Amino acid sequence: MKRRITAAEFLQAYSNDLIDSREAMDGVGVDSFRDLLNAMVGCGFRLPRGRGREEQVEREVAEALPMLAETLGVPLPRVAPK
Amino acid sequence: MPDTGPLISLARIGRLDLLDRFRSQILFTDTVQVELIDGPQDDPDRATLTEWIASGGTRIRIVETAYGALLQQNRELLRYVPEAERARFRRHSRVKDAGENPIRELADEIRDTLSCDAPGLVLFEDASVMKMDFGPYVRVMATWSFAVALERLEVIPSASELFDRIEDTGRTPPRQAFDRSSAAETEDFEDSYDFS
Repeated sequence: MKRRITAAEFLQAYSNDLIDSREAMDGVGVDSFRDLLNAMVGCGFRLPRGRGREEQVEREVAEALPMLAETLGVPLPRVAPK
Repeated sequence: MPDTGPLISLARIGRLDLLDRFRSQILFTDTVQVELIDGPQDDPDRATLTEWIASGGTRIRIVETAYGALLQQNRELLRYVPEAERARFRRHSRVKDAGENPIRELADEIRDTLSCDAPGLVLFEDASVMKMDFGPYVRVMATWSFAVALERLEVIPSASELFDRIEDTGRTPPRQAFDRSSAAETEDFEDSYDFS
């Protein structure tokens, strides 16, 4: 993996979902999420959009639904909508 | 609850009852507890969450962590700092890079204690939680996934409406940006930043 050095590299990596906000803040040298967002805006980077997150959400929901239904005492949906 | 995010999001819109419906034990770390009750005196989240924690009784169990003890010690020392200087010192009282350690300690606690007879659910908004191993009897999900699951179980009418309400309070949890479908992205991406 390429070593990130500049603030721009950390912002780009955060924008591309390669690192989380904490690592991005450390890389940029700020100590608040607000400052990170200011840096993102100021340098023209988009917020991370979570490529592949839809699949992760579906997986998390599918795994938890039976337990949630049992604990809450509600029926499971017959077919989980996409 | 490995991080404060889900609690703050639900507290903002008065929906902590969604957690109360489970009537099961709720675990969070002393770090989370300190962060929840350590806000400004006039912070409405602080009052709501302090009351919710107090009303939880034995349902709520605080897991002590090494970082939490250090944080608590720093808070005690802040009492000796002049009032006008406290906010500045409080910002510096956190230990750099310690964020994942209490989460890891909570994961260890959960992994070592839960069994197949008493499975658990981990709710998070801090992305570092996804890297932790909570053991085989735990389901891990982001607040957004939790909302989607509740919608599918018809416990709430709409996950999107729930998150819209959270956003209306001026809070845009980092996970919401992740959870928003790419197709819903607007041209003016700066609209999605939270400057509250």
